Amino acid sequence: MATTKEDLDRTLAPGEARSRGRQIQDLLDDEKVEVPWQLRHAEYTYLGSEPLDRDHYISQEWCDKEIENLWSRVWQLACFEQDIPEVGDHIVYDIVDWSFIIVRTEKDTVKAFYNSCLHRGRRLCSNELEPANRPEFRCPFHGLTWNIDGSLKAIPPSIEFDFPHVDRDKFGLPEVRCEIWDGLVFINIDDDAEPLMDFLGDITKHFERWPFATRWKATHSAKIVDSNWKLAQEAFMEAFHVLATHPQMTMGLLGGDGSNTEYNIYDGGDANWSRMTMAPPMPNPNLPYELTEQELIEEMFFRGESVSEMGTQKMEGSVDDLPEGTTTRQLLAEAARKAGPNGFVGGEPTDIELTSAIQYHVFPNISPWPGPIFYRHRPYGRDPDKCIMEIMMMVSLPEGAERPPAAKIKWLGPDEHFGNIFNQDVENVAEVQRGLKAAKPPGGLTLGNYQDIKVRWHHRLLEKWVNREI
Amino acid sequence: MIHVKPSGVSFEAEADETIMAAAIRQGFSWPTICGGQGTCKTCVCLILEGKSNLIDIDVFEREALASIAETLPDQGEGWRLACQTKATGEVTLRKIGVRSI
Repeated sequence: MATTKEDLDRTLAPGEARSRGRQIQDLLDDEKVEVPWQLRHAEYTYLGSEPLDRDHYISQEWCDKEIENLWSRVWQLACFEQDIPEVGDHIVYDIVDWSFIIVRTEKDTVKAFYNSCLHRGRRLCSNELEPANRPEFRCPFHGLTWNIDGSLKAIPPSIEFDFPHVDRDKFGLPEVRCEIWDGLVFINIDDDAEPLMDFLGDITKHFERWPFATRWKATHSAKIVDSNWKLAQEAFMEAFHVLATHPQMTMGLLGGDGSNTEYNIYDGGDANWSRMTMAPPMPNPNLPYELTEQELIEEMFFRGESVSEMGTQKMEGSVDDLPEGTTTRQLLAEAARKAGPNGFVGGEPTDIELTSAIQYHVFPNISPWPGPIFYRHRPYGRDPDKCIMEIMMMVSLPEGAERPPAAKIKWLGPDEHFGNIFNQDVENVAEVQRGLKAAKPPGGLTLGNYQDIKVRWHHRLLEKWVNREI
Repeated sequence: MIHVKPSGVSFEAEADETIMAAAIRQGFSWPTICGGQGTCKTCVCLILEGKSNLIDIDVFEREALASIAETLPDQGEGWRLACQTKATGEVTLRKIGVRSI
């Protein structure tokens, strides 16, 4: 399977070459249960090898263009429905300078309003971290009050005399587009935007197998990271950095060295979503000799823990007790099956779903997984050098179990980190941000044709938005 | 003499060669990606006995070990890079994937 430079030159078109070893689609052939169509829906299109402009990450001018042309017009995740389960529950969502109140106005209705008083402009609510439930939105400055459905409730009697010019019926809080996909609440500042479900496209069909509405947001952490929001996000858009960034995984534990990851972009790169599927734990095909599955399992037991979908599972036992021919991924899949509900719909879970990190991205800034992890990356104000990185754990509950309240956002300080693997990524992207500014050699950044395709996909769409081609 | 568990192989290492280089020279496999430059850290092994029979950890190896310490049992205590360390006497270590090839 090894691909040499000569092979590339002779037979393969750009973007066609793949790493050594078995690919995800080969591994799916081993499954003992029916493979869901979603996993076989694996498109890739070569989008050229043009250099990527480093100004996308570091230039204030580009950052301002993103604000003007992207964030002002694109569908973006504001919160989860389960953050605001009761009528009157509301939470604040901020993006760049904008701020919104997301509120449940009726049992089945969620609305979004600009979080700004119509009198002097003060922010009405400040509960970004956790939901609140109040009977009205009362401005803390002068006390003007709105109902939770946005209509004006009262101008305080003591000052009401001074506002004869205000038409009470037309003094409601300006509403913002707010639509829901499977328990995920999106907003859009642009009144002319296409409907959310059209924007999302076929990813909604993919996630019919891994629904969100029934899951529980068990944790939600946030941290200010010293990099552009795209850089932090791109740490999870390719997996071949594992080789150098996460050496603890290199032997083949925790998804191997990342080189056998499958990358998918759809509709020739025009779809607003993409996917990557990391290889499950298997012997690294890039060692100078073949490591056996048995050796890998032995190492896994020895280290006392292994990671499936980056959630730590304690593995105990001895390789001697296992039937001959047992593979690491079968063992981990079995452990995951016993560990609890996975919430998958329509057929038995495959080993790949249980042991591989399958990561979707929705343009511009969220990453939902079939597994529990969920990312969001936002700019930090207008600073191109900082972002807000968030990790949520969206776990499945046993059938019939009552869902506990959704976790509040926990902000991590500068010295706190998300976990070993994530910390290695966070350290990396901060150094990338500095490195991008450290020099300005001619030309841009050189991306891989296949393994960086999601990065290229993202920037290609971003450019279209910024240039108002979308 | 270097003894490797759990495979049970043993081999001699010269004073001026690293443990990994000695193993490879004598026909044994050793997990590595960078081939002995001390950068990929795949060769990292746990010293079980004979710690004092190894050369001191230099700055380069210390930095490499520090970068993966949190991902190893016991915060990396007792682990060395086989591509950097040399032996001056009997050493028993643990490394998966070391065997005759």
